[in-house]
Amino acid sequence: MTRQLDIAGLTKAFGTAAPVLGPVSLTLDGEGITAIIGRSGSGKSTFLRCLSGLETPTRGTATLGGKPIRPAEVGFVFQEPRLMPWLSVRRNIAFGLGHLPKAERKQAVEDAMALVGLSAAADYLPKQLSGGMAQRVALARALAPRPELLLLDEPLSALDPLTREQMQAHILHVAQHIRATILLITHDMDEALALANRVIVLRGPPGRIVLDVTIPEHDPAYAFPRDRTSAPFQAMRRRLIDALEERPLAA
Amino acid sequence: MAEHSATAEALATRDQAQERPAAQGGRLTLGWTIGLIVPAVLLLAWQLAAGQQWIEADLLPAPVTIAQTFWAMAQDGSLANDILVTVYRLALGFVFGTVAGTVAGMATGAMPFARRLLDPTLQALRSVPSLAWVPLFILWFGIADTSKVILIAVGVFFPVYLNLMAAIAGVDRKLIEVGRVHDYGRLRLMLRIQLPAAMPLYLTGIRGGLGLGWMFIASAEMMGANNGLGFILTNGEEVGRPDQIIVAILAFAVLGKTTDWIVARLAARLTGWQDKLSAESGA
Ligand SMILES: Nc1ncnc2c1ncn2[C@@H]1O[C@H](COP(=O)(O)OP(=O)(O)OP(=O)(O)O)[C@@H](O)[C@H]1O
Ligand SMILES: [Mg+2]
Repeated sequence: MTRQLDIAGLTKAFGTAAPVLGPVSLTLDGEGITAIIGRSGSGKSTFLRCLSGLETPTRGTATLGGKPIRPAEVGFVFQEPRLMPWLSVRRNIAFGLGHLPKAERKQAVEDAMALVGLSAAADYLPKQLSGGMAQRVALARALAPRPELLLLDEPLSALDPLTREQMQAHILHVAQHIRATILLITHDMDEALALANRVIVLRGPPGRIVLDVTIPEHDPAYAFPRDRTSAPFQAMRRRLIDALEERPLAA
Repeated sequence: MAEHSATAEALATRDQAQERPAAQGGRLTLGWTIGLIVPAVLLLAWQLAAGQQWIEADLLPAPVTIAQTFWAMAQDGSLANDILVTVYRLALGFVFGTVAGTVAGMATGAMPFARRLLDPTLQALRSVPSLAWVPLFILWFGIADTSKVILIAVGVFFPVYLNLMAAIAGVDRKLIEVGRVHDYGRLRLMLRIQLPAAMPLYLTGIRGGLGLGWMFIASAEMMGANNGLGFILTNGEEVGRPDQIIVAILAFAVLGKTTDWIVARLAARLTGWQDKLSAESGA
Protein backbone atom coordinates (compact mmCIF):
# COMPACT_ATOMS: atom_id res chain seq x y z
CA MET A 1 0.00 0.00 0.00
CA THR A 2 1.15 3.52 -0.68
CA ARG A 3 1.01 5.98 2.14
CA GLN A 4 -1.52 8.78 2.34
CA LEU A 5 -0.71 12.13 0.76
CA ASP A 6 -2.01 15.03 2.84
CA ILE A 7 -2.03 18.53 1.51
CA ALA A 8 -3.16 21.18 3.97
CA GLY A 9 -3.69 24.86 3.19
CA LEU A 10 -1.04 24.88 0.48
CA THR A 11 -0.52 28.43 -0.79
CA LYS A 12 2.05 29.91 -3.15
CA ALA A 13 2.81 33.53 -3.92
CA PHE A 14 5.81 34.59 -6.00
CA GLY A 15 7.61 37.39 -4.21
CA THR A 16 5.25 40.01 -2.92
CA ALA A 17 2.66 39.45 -5.67
CA ALA A 18 -0.81 38.10 -4.95
CA PRO A 19 -0.94 34.32 -4.44
CA VAL A 20 -1.29 32.27 -7.62
CA LEU A 21 -2.29 29.13 -5.75
CA GLY A 22 -4.38 28.16 -2.79
CA PRO A 23 -5.17 27.58 -0.18
CA VAL A 24 -5.51 24.00 -1.42
CA SER A 25 -6.32 21.12 0.90
CA LEU A 26 -6.54 17.58 -0.38
CA THR A 27 -6.07 14.03 0.75
CA LEU A 28 -5.05 11.30 -1.66
CA ASP A 29 -5.23 7.76 -0.47
CA GLY A 30 -3.96 4.83 -2.45
CA GLU A 31 -2.85 4.09 -5.95
CA GLY A 32 -4.23 5.10 -9.30
CA ILE A 33 -4.43 8.32 -11.25
CA THR A 34 -5.89 11.55 -9.98
CA ALA A 35 -6.29 14.07 -12.76
CA ILE A 36 -6.13 17.82 -12.20
CA ILE A 37 -7.66 19.99 -14.85
CA GLY A 38 -7.90 23.73 -15.05
CA ARG A 39 -7.48 26.58 -17.44
CA SER A 40 -4.11 27.97 -18.36
CA GLY A 41 -2.72 30.05 -15.51
CA SER A 42 -4.91 28.45 -12.87
CA GLY A 43 -1.85 27.33 -10.93
CA LYS A 44 -1.68 23.64 -11.88
CA SER A 45 2.06 23.58 -12.53
CA THR A 46 2.73 25.67 -9.46
CA PHE A 47 0.81 23.12 -7.42
CA LEU A 48 2.87 20.17 -8.67
CA ARG A 49 6.12 22.11 -8.36
CA CYS A 50 5.30 22.82 -4.72
CA LEU A 51 4.79 19.10 -4.13
CA SER A 52 8.05 18.17 -5.88
CA GLY A 53 10.19 20.64 -3.98
CA LEU A 54 10.97 22.73 -7.07
CA GLU A 55 9.06 25.58 -5.39
CA THR A 56 8.74 26.27 -1.70
CA PRO A 57 5.12 26.85 -0.65
CA THR A 58 4.44 30.20 0.97
CA ARG A 59 2.10 28.55 3.46
CA GLY A 60 0.71 25.12 4.14
CA THR A 61 2.15 21.64 4.17
CA ALA A 62 2.30 18.51 2.07
CA THR A 63 3.10 15.23 3.78
CA LEU A 64 3.39 11.61 2.78
CA GLY A 65 2.43 9.21 5.56
CA GLY A 66 2.57 12.13 7.97
CA LYS A 67 6.15 13.10 7.09
CA PRO A 68 7.39 15.87 4.79
CA ILE A 69 7.80 14.64 1.21
CA ARG A 70 11.39 13.75 0.36
CA PRO A 71 12.64 14.28 -3.21
CA ALA A 72 13.61 10.60 -3.44
CA GLU A 73 9.93 9.71 -3.04
CA VAL A 74 8.84 11.81 -6.01
CA GLY A 75 8.95 11.19 -9.75
CA PHE A 76 8.33 14.14 -12.06
CA VAL A 77 7.54 14.32 -15.78
CA PHE A 78 7.54 17.75 -17.38
CA GLN A 79 5.62 18.99 -20.37
CA GLU A 80 8.79 18.56 -22.45
CA PRO A 81 10.98 15.45 -22.22
CA ARG A 82 14.01 17.36 -20.89
CA LEU A 83 16.38 14.50 -21.65
CA MET A 84 20.13 14.97 -21.34
CA PRO A 85 21.09 15.12 -25.03
CA TRP A 86 24.54 13.61 -24.40
CA LEU A 87 23.19 10.47 -22.71
CA SER A 88 21.72 7.39 -24.35
CA VAL A 89 18.15 6.38 -23.56
CA ARG A 90 19.47 3.84 -21.05
CA ARG A 91 21.65 6.37 -19.26
CA ASN A 92 18.92 8.98 -19.24
CA ILE A 93 16.64 6.51 -17.52
CA ALA A 94 19.37 5.74 -14.99
CA PHE A 95 19.67 9.45 -14.20
CA GLY A 96 18.00 9.22 -10.79
CA LEU A 97 19.54 5.88 -9.83
CA GLY A 98 23.04 6.95 -8.84
CA HIS A 99 22.54 5.67 -5.29
CA LEU A 100 21.92 2.05 -6.36
CA PRO A 101 24.56 -0.66 -6.79
CA LYS A 102 25.32 -1.37 -10.43
CA ALA A 103 23.36 -4.60 -10.83
CA GLU A 104 20.25 -3.16 -9.22
CA ARG A 105 20.52 -0.02 -11.27
CA LYS A 106 20.72 -2.06 -14.45
CA GLN A 107 17.65 -4.08 -13.46
CA ALA A 108 15.67 -0.95 -12.57
CA VAL A 109 16.50 0.56 -15.96
CA GLU A 110 15.49 -2.60 -17.81
CA ASP A 111 12.23 -2.79 -15.90
CA ALA A 112 11.36 0.84 -16.55
CA MET A 113 12.22 0.52 -20.25
CA ALA A 114 10.08 -2.57 -20.60
CA LEU A 115 7.19 -0.87 -18.84
CA VAL A 116 7.05 1.93 -21.41
CA GLY A 117 7.97 -0.32 -24.36
CA LEU A 118 11.37 1.19 -25.09
CA SER A 119 13.74 -1.75 -24.71
CA ALA A 120 14.61 -1.73 -28.42
CA ALA A 121 15.74 1.92 -28.29
CA ALA A 122 18.03 1.55 -25.27
CA ASP A 123 21.15 2.81 -27.00
CA TYR A 124 19.63 5.65 -28.99
CA LEU A 125 20.61 9.23 -28.35
CA PRO A 126 17.78 11.71 -27.69
CA LYS A 127 18.29 13.30 -31.10
CA GLN A 128 17.26 9.97 -32.66
CA LEU A 129 13.90 9.79 -30.85
CA SER A 130 10.43 10.86 -31.94
CA GLY A 131 8.49 13.16 -29.65
CA GLY A 132 6.41 10.32 -28.24
CA MET A 133 9.45 8.13 -27.63
CA ALA A 134 11.30 10.96 -25.92
CA GLN A 135 8.36 11.53 -23.59
CA ARG A 136 8.26 7.81 -22.81
CA VAL A 137 11.95 7.99 -21.86
CA ALA A 138 11.08 10.86 -19.53
CA LEU A 139 8.31 8.73 -18.03
CA ALA A 140 10.68 5.79 -17.58
CA ARG A 141 13.28 8.08 -15.97
CA ALA A 142 10.69 9.20 -13.44
CA LEU A 143 9.50 5.63 -12.81
CA ALA A 144 12.88 3.95 -12.48
CA PRO A 145 13.58 5.01 -8.86
CA ARG A 146 10.14 3.60 -7.95
CA PRO A 147 8.65 6.81 -6.55
CA GLU A 148 5.70 6.70 -4.21
CA LEU A 149 4.36 9.87 -5.74
CA LEU A 150 4.41 10.33 -9.52
CA LEU A 151 3.75 13.87 -10.73
CA LEU A 152 2.94 14.38 -14.40
CA ASP A 153 2.69 17.99 -15.57
CA GLU A 154 0.84 17.89 -18.90
CA PRO A 155 3.19 15.22 -20.21
CA LEU A 156 1.18 14.73 -23.37
CA SER A 157 0.20 18.23 -24.40
CA ALA A 158 3.13 18.63 -26.80
CA LEU A 159 2.22 15.49 -28.74
CA ASP A 160 0.01 15.08 -31.78
CA PRO A 161 -3.45 13.54 -31.17
CA LEU A 162 -2.58 10.04 -32.41
CA THR A 163 0.65 9.82 -30.40
CA ARG A 164 -1.19 11.24 -27.43
CA GLU A 165 -3.73 8.45 -27.47
CA GLN A 166 -0.94 5.92 -27.68
CA MET A 167 0.79 7.59 -24.74
CA GLN A 168 -2.43 7.54 -22.72
CA ALA A 169 -2.44 3.79 -23.13
CA HIS A 170 1.17 3.70 -21.92
CA ILE A 171 0.36 5.78 -18.87
CA LEU A 172 -2.63 3.60 -18.04
CA HIS A 173 -0.47 0.52 -18.40
CA VAL A 174 2.16 2.02 -16.11
CA ALA A 175 -0.45 3.04 -13.54
CA GLN A 176 -1.74 -0.51 -13.38
CA HIS A 177 1.75 -1.93 -12.84
CA ILE A 178 3.38 0.34 -10.27
CA ARG A 179 2.49 1.14 -6.71
CA ALA A 180 2.31 4.89 -6.69
CA THR A 181 -0.03 7.77 -6.18
CA ILE A 182 -0.16 9.48 -9.55
CA LEU A 183 -1.14 13.10 -10.09
CA LEU A 184 -1.74 13.94 -13.75
CA ILE A 185 -2.22 17.49 -14.90
CA THR A 186 -4.00 17.95 -18.16
CA HIS A 187 -6.16 20.53 -19.85
CA ASP A 188 -7.88 17.79 -21.81
CA MET A 189 -11.09 16.67 -20.12
CA ASP A 190 -11.32 13.53 -22.20
CA GLU A 191 -7.81 12.56 -21.19
CA ALA A 192 -8.67 13.10 -17.53
CA LEU A 193 -11.81 10.99 -17.84
CA ALA A 194 -10.10 8.27 -19.84
CA LEU A 195 -7.32 7.71 -17.29
CA ALA A 196 -8.25 8.91 -13.83
CA ASN A 197 -10.26 7.48 -11.00
CA ARG A 198 -10.59 10.92 -9.49
CA VAL A 199 -10.78 14.31 -11.21
CA ILE A 200 -10.08 17.61 -9.54
CA VAL A 201 -10.90 20.92 -11.15
CA LEU A 202 -8.70 23.87 -10.23
CA ARG A 203 -9.77 27.43 -10.90
CA GLY A 204 -7.77 30.55 -10.39
CA PRO A 205 -5.65 32.45 -9.89
CA PRO A 206 -5.33 31.94 -7.06
CA GLY A 207 -5.84 28.27 -7.92
CA ARG A 208 -8.43 26.57 -5.76
CA ILE A 209 -10.35 23.33 -5.98
CA VAL A 210 -13.83 23.91 -7.32
CA LEU A 211 -14.78 20.32 -8.07
CA ASP A 212 -13.52 16.99 -6.80
CA VAL A 213 -15.21 13.91 -8.24
CA THR A 214 -14.40 10.28 -7.72
CA ILE A 215 -15.11 8.07 -10.70
CA PRO A 216 -17.12 5.07 -9.54
CA GLU A 217 -14.41 2.46 -9.99
CA HIS A 218 -16.66 -0.57 -10.05
CA ASP A 219 -19.23 0.93 -12.38
CA PRO A 220 -18.93 -1.10 -15.62
CA ALA A 221 -19.50 2.13 -17.53
CA TYR A 222 -16.00 3.18 -16.37
CA ALA A 223 -14.16 -0.08 -16.95
CA PHE A 224 -10.83 0.37 -18.77
CA PRO A 225 -10.43 1.08 -21.62
CA ARG A 226 -13.22 3.57 -21.20
CA ASP A 227 -15.81 4.15 -23.87
CA ARG A 228 -15.67 7.88 -24.45
CA THR A 229 -19.04 7.91 -26.17
CA SER A 230 -21.01 6.32 -23.32
CA ALA A 231 -23.73 8.37 -21.64
CA PRO A 232 -22.13 8.43 -18.15
CA PHE A 233 -18.81 9.52 -19.66
CA GLN A 234 -20.52 12.33 -21.51
CA ALA A 235 -22.50 13.38 -18.44
CA MET A 236 -19.34 13.51 -16.36
CA ARG A 237 -17.68 15.53 -19.07
CA ARG A 238 -20.54 18.02 -18.87
CA ARG A 239 -19.97 18.42 -15.13
CA LEU A 240 -16.30 19.18 -15.66
CA ILE A 241 -17.06 21.77 -18.32
CA ASP A 242 -19.53 23.45 -15.98
CA ALA A 243 -16.92 23.55 -13.24
CA LEU A 244 -14.38 25.11 -15.57
CA GLU A 245 -16.82 27.82 -16.67
CA GLU A 246 -16.02 31.29 -15.43
CA ARG A 247 -18.64 31.78 -12.74
CA PRO A 248 -18.14 33.34 -9.32
CA LEU A 249 -16.54 30.83 -7.02
CA ALA A 250 -18.89 31.52 -4.15
CA ALA A 251 -21.91 30.19 -6.06
CA MET B 1 2.34 24.43 -76.23
CA ALA B 2 5.41 26.65 -76.14
CA GLU B 3 4.52 27.70 -72.65
CA HIS B 4 4.23 24.09 -71.65
CA SER B 5 7.71 23.14 -72.87
CA ALA B 6 9.14 26.26 -71.25
CA THR B 7 7.75 25.06 -67.94
CA ALA B 8 9.18 21.61 -68.50
CA GLU B 9 12.53 23.16 -69.24
CA ALA B 10 12.38 25.22 -66.09
CA LEU B 11 11.59 22.08 -64.13
CA ALA B 12 14.50 20.25 -65.72
CA THR B 13 16.85 23.12 -64.87
CA ARG B 14 15.57 23.02 -61.34
CA ASP B 15 16.21 19.29 -61.18
CA GLN B 16 19.77 19.86 -62.26
CA ALA B 17 20.14 22.56 -59.67
CA GLN B 18 18.92 20.14 -57.06
CA GLU B 19 21.39 17.52 -58.15
CA ARG B 20 24.32 19.82 -57.76
CA PRO B 21 24.69 19.69 -53.97
CA ALA B 22 24.74 15.89 -54.12
CA ALA B 23 27.49 15.95 -56.70
CA GLN B 24 29.41 18.38 -54.54
CA GLY B 25 28.98 16.04 -51.63
CA GLY B 26 30.71 13.31 -53.62
CA ARG B 27 33.56 15.64 -54.51
CA LEU B 28 33.99 16.78 -50.92
CA THR B 29 36.51 14.02 -50.26
CA LEU B 30 38.77 15.66 -52.84
CA GLY B 31 38.25 19.04 -51.19
CA TRP B 32 41.58 19.33 -49.46
CA THR B 33 43.60 18.17 -52.47
CA ILE B 34 42.06 21.01 -54.45
CA GLY B 35 43.50 23.33 -51.84
CA LEU B 36 46.98 22.12 -52.80
CA ILE B 37 46.78 23.41 -56.36
CA VAL B 38 47.44 27.07 -55.58
CA PRO B 39 50.49 26.46 -53.32
CA ALA B 40 51.91 24.00 -55.87
CA VAL B 41 51.60 26.51 -58.70
CA LEU B 42 53.08 29.27 -56.54
CA LEU B 43 55.95 27.02 -55.51
CA LEU B 44 56.68 26.17 -59.12
CA ALA B 45 56.61 29.82 -60.19
CA TRP B 46 58.81 30.73 -57.22
CA GLN B 47 61.40 28.09 -58.06
CA LEU B 48 61.33 29.22 -61.67
CA ALA B 49 61.77 32.88 -60.74
CA ALA B 50 64.60 32.06 -58.35
CA GLY B 51 66.32 29.94 -61.01
CA GLN B 52 66.20 32.94 -63.37
CA GLN B 53 67.69 35.16 -60.63
CA TRP B 54 64.57 37.34 -60.67
CA ILE B 55 64.47 37.18 -56.88
CA GLU B 56 67.40 38.04 -54.67
CA ALA B 57 68.46 34.82 -52.93
CA ASP B 58 69.66 36.73 -49.83
CA LEU B 59 66.09 37.85 -49.19
CA LEU B 60 64.04 34.96 -50.51
CA PRO B 61 65.89 31.73 -51.23
CA ALA B 62 64.57 29.22 -53.74
CA PRO B 63 62.30 26.42 -52.53
CA VAL B 64 65.03 23.92 -53.27
CA THR B 65 67.47 25.81 -51.00
CA ILE B 66 64.89 25.84 -48.26
CA ALA B 67 64.36 22.12 -48.67
CA GLN B 68 68.10 21.58 -48.40
CA THR B 69 68.28 23.70 -45.25
CA PHE B 70 65.39 21.75 -43.82
CA TRP B 71 67.15 18.51 -44.59
CA ALA B 72 70.37 19.69 -42.99
CA MET B 73 68.55 20.87 -39.84
CA ALA B 74 66.69 17.59 -39.69
CA GLN B 75 69.87 15.57 -40.17
CA ASP B 76 71.90 17.13 -37.38
CA GLY B 77 68.93 16.83 -35.01
CA SER B 78 68.78 20.57 -34.28
CA LEU B 79 65.30 20.97 -35.76
CA ALA B 80 63.86 18.08 -33.78
CA ASN B 81 65.49 19.47 -30.67
CA ASP B 82 64.08 22.96 -31.15
CA ILE B 83 60.65 21.55 -31.94
CA LEU B 84 60.72 19.45 -28.79
CA VAL B 85 61.72 22.44 -26.66
CA THR B 86 58.92 24.56 -28.12
CA VAL B 87 56.31 21.83 -27.83
CA TYR B 88 57.36 21.16 -24.24
CA ARG B 89 56.94 24.82 -23.25
CA LEU B 90 53.63 25.01 -25.07
CA ALA B 91 52.33 21.82 -23.49
CA LEU B 92 53.19 22.97 -19.96
CA GLY B 93 51.67 26.40 -20.49
CA PHE B 94 48.64 24.85 -22.16
CA VAL B 95 48.00 22.51 -19.24
CA PHE B 96 48.36 25.25 -16.61
CA GLY B 97 46.26 27.71 -18.59
CA THR B 98 43.53 25.15 -19.22
CA VAL B 99 43.37 24.03 -15.60
CA ALA B 100 43.23 27.62 -14.32
CA GLY B 101 40.67 28.61 -16.95
CA THR B 102 38.55 25.58 -16.11
CA VAL B 103 38.51 26.25 -12.38
CA ALA B 104 37.80 29.95 -12.84
CA GLY B 105 35.17 29.28 -15.51
CA MET B 106 33.39 26.70 -13.39
CA ALA B 107 33.35 28.91 -10.32
CA THR B 108 32.16 32.06 -12.06
CA GLY B 109 29.74 30.17 -14.28
CA ALA B 110 28.01 28.39 -11.42
CA MET B 111 28.14 31.12 -8.77
CA PRO B 112 26.88 34.59 -9.69
CA PHE B 113 28.63 35.96 -6.62
CA ALA B 114 32.01 34.66 -7.80
CA ARG B 115 31.30 36.10 -11.23
CA ARG B 116 30.56 39.56 -9.87
CA LEU B 117 33.65 39.34 -7.70
CA LEU B 118 36.22 38.08 -10.22
CA ASP B 119 35.05 38.75 -13.73
CA PRO B 120 35.69 42.54 -13.86
CA THR B 121 39.32 42.03 -12.81
CA LEU B 122 39.91 39.20 -15.24
CA GLN B 123 38.29 41.16 -18.06
CA ALA B 124 40.61 44.09 -17.35
CA LEU B 125 43.66 41.79 -17.43
CA ARG B 126 42.44 40.33 -20.69
CA SER B 127 42.70 43.72 -22.37
CA VAL B 128 46.46 43.79 -21.79
CA PRO B 129 48.24 42.97 -25.08
CA SER B 130 50.11 39.71 -24.72
CA LEU B 131 53.52 41.14 -25.56
CA ALA B 132 53.18 43.72 -22.81
CA TRP B 133 53.59 40.94 -20.26
CA VAL B 134 56.87 39.68 -21.66
CA PRO B 135 59.30 42.20 -20.09
CA LEU B 136 57.59 41.90 -16.73
CA PHE B 137 57.63 38.11 -16.76
CA ILE B 138 61.29 38.04 -17.80
CA LEU B 139 62.07 40.46 -14.97
CA TRP B 140 60.20 38.32 -12.47
CA PHE B 141 60.96 34.81 -13.62
CA GLY B 142 64.12 35.24 -15.66
CA ILE B 143 64.76 34.26 -19.23
CA ALA B 144 64.43 30.54 -18.51
CA ASP B 145 61.36 28.44 -19.31
CA THR B 146 59.21 29.69 -16.42
CA SER B 147 58.47 33.08 -17.92
CA LYS B 148 57.54 31.54 -21.27
CA VAL B 149 55.32 28.86 -19.75
CA ILE B 150 53.49 31.49 -17.73
CA LEU B 151 53.00 33.72 -20.74
CA ILE B 152 51.50 30.82 -22.68
CA ALA B 153 49.31 29.89 -19.73
CA VAL B 154 47.98 33.46 -19.70
CA GLY B 155 47.18 33.19 -23.38
CA VAL B 156 45.40 29.86 -23.02
CA PHE B 157 43.55 30.91 -19.87
CA PHE B 158 41.22 33.56 -21.30
CA PRO B 159 39.45 31.69 -24.10
CA VAL B 160 39.00 28.67 -21.84
CA TYR B 161 37.74 30.79 -18.95
CA LEU B 162 35.38 32.95 -20.99
CA ASN B 163 33.82 30.10 -22.95
CA LEU B 164 33.34 27.85 -19.96
CA MET B 165 31.85 30.64 -17.84
CA ALA B 166 29.38 31.56 -20.57
CA ALA B 167 28.53 27.91 -21.23
CA ILE B 168 27.89 27.01 -17.60
CA ALA B 169 25.95 30.16 -16.84
CA GLY B 170 23.87 29.47 -19.93
CA VAL B 171 22.90 25.86 -19.23
CA ASP B 172 19.16 25.46 -19.71
CA ARG B 173 17.33 25.92 -16.41
CA LYS B 174 14.98 23.18 -17.50
CA LEU B 175 17.78 20.62 -17.43
CA ILE B 176 18.94 21.85 -14.03
CA GLU B 177 15.41 21.29 -12.73
CA VAL B 178 15.62 17.65 -13.82
CA GLY B 179 18.64 17.34 -11.54
CA ARG B 180 16.81 19.07 -8.74
CA VAL B 181 13.80 16.75 -8.88
CA HIS B 182 16.28 13.89 -8.61
CA ASP B 183 17.75 15.47 -5.49
CA TYR B 184 21.09 16.39 -7.05
CA GLY B 185 23.41 18.50 -4.93
CA ARG B 186 25.70 21.24 -6.26
CA LEU B 187 28.56 18.93 -7.14
CA ARG B 188 26.43 16.39 -8.98
CA LEU B 189 24.60 19.15 -10.83
CA MET B 190 28.00 20.40 -11.98
CA LEU B 191 29.42 17.02 -12.94
CA ARG B 192 26.36 15.43 -14.46
CA ILE B 193 24.51 18.35 -16.04
CA GLN B 194 26.39 21.62 -16.22
CA LEU B 195 29.78 20.38 -17.40
CA PRO B 196 28.48 17.96 -20.06
CA ALA B 197 26.07 20.60 -21.34
CA ALA B 198 28.90 23.13 -21.45
CA MET B 199 31.25 20.74 -23.25
CA PRO B 200 30.83 22.04 -26.83
CA LEU B 201 31.56 25.65 -25.92
CA TYR B 202 34.30 24.59 -23.50
CA LEU B 203 36.08 22.69 -26.26
CA THR B 204 35.75 25.70 -28.53
CA GLY B 205 37.51 27.66 -25.80
CA ILE B 206 40.26 25.08 -25.51
CA ARG B 207 40.78 25.14 -29.24
CA GLY B 208 40.98 28.91 -29.23
CA GLY B 209 43.35 28.79 -26.27
CA LEU B 210 45.65 26.40 -28.07
CA GLY B 211 45.76 28.74 -31.07
CA LEU B 212 46.66 31.67 -28.83
CA GLY B 213 49.25 29.50 -27.09
CA TRP B 214 51.07 29.02 -30.40
CA MET B 215 51.08 32.76 -31.03
CA PHE B 216 52.33 33.48 -27.55
CA ILE B 217 55.14 30.98 -27.68
CA ALA B 218 56.46 32.50 -30.86
CA SER B 219 56.52 35.91 -29.15
CA ALA B 220 58.05 34.54 -25.98
CA GLU B 221 60.85 32.70 -27.72
CA MET B 222 61.61 35.61 -29.99
CA MET B 223 62.04 37.98 -27.07
CA GLY B 224 64.50 35.93 -25.15
CA ALA B 225 65.54 32.33 -25.68
CA ASN B 226 68.51 30.36 -26.87
CA ASN B 227 66.57 27.47 -28.29
CA GLY B 228 63.14 26.67 -29.67
CA LEU B 229 61.47 27.52 -32.97
CA GLY B 230 61.06 31.17 -32.02
CA PHE B 231 64.79 31.38 -31.41
CA ILE B 232 65.46 30.01 -34.93
CA LEU B 233 63.42 32.94 -36.25
CA THR B 234 65.39 35.69 -34.48
CA ASN B 235 68.66 33.86 -35.00
CA GLY B 236 67.92 33.57 -38.72
CA GLU B 237 67.41 37.31 -38.84
CA GLU B 238 70.68 38.01 -37.03
CA VAL B 239 72.80 35.73 -39.18
CA GLY B 240 70.95 36.58 -42.39
CA ARG B 241 69.50 33.14 -43.11
CA PRO B 242 66.02 33.59 -44.59
CA ASP B 243 65.91 29.87 -45.45
CA GLN B 244 66.24 29.06 -41.75
CA ILE B 245 63.43 31.51 -40.92
CA ILE B 246 61.16 29.96 -43.49
CA VAL B 247 61.82 26.45 -42.21
CA ALA B 248 60.81 27.60 -38.69
CA ILE B 249 57.70 29.31 -40.05
CA LEU B 250 56.69 26.14 -41.85
CA ALA B 251 57.32 24.11 -38.70
CA PHE B 252 55.03 26.46 -36.75
CA ALA B 253 52.35 26.10 -39.41
CA VAL B 254 52.50 22.31 -39.49
CA LEU B 255 52.59 21.93 -35.71
CA GLY B 256 49.81 24.47 -35.13
CA LYS B 257 47.56 22.87 -37.70
CA THR B 258 48.26 19.35 -36.41
CA THR B 259 47.52 20.12 -32.77
CA ASP B 260 44.39 22.03 -33.78
CA TRP B 261 43.26 19.07 -35.84
CA ILE B 262 43.78 16.71 -32.90
CA VAL B 263 41.70 18.90 -30.59
CA ALA B 264 39.02 19.31 -33.26
CA ARG B 265 38.78 15.55 -33.73
CA LEU B 266 38.55 15.04 -30.00
CA ALA B 267 35.85 17.70 -29.78
CA ALA B 268 33.84 16.13 -32.59
CA ARG B 269 33.98 12.81 -30.81
CA LEU B 270 32.97 14.24 -27.44
CA THR B 271 30.09 16.32 -28.75
CA GLY B 272 28.62 13.97 -31.33
CA TRP B 273 25.39 13.99 -29.34
CA GLN B 274 24.58 17.49 -30.53
CA ASP B 275 21.56 17.68 -32.81
CA LYS B 276 23.19 19.73 -35.52
CA LEU B 277 22.89 19.80 -39.28
CA SER B 278 26.49 18.75 -39.85
CA ALA B 279 28.59 16.90 -37.33
CA GLU B 280 31.90 18.23 -38.64
CA SER B 281 32.40 21.93 -38.29
CA GLY B 282 35.49 24.01 -38.69
CA ALA B 283 38.63 21.82 -38.76
N1 LIG C 1 8.41 31.63 -11.31
C1 LIG C 1 7.31 32.41 -11.36
N2 LIG C 1 7.38 33.70 -10.99
C2 LIG C 1 6.28 34.48 -11.02
N3 LIG C 1 5.07 34.07 -11.39
C3 LIG C 1 4.93 32.78 -11.77
C4 LIG C 1 6.03 31.89 -11.77
N4 LIG C 1 5.60 30.68 -12.18
C5 LIG C 1 4.28 30.82 -12.42
N5 LIG C 1 3.86 32.08 -12.16
C6 LIG C 1 2.49 32.59 -12.30
O1 LIG C 1 1.63 31.72 -11.63
C7 LIG C 1 0.40 31.58 -12.32
C8 LIG C 1 0.07 30.13 -12.48
O2 LIG C 1 1.04 29.54 -13.34
P1 LIG C 1 1.08 27.97 -13.61
O3 LIG C 1 2.26 27.73 -14.47
O4 LIG C 1 1.00 27.26 -12.32
O5 LIG C 1 -0.26 27.78 -14.43
P2 LIG C 1 -0.80 26.47 -15.16
O6 LIG C 1 -2.15 26.19 -14.61
O7 LIG C 1 0.20 25.39 -15.08
O8 LIG C 1 -0.95 26.98 -16.65
P3 LIG C 1 -0.70 26.19 -18.02
O9 LIG C 1 -1.91 25.34 -18.26
O10 LIG C 1 -0.62 27.29 -19.04
O11 LIG C 1 0.57 25.42 -17.88
C9 LIG C 1 0.55 32.33 -13.64
O12 LIG C 1 -0.15 33.56 -13.53
C10 LIG C 1 2.03 32.59 -13.74
O13 LIG C 1 2.28 33.83 -14.34
MG1 LIG D 1 1.50 24.42 -16.49
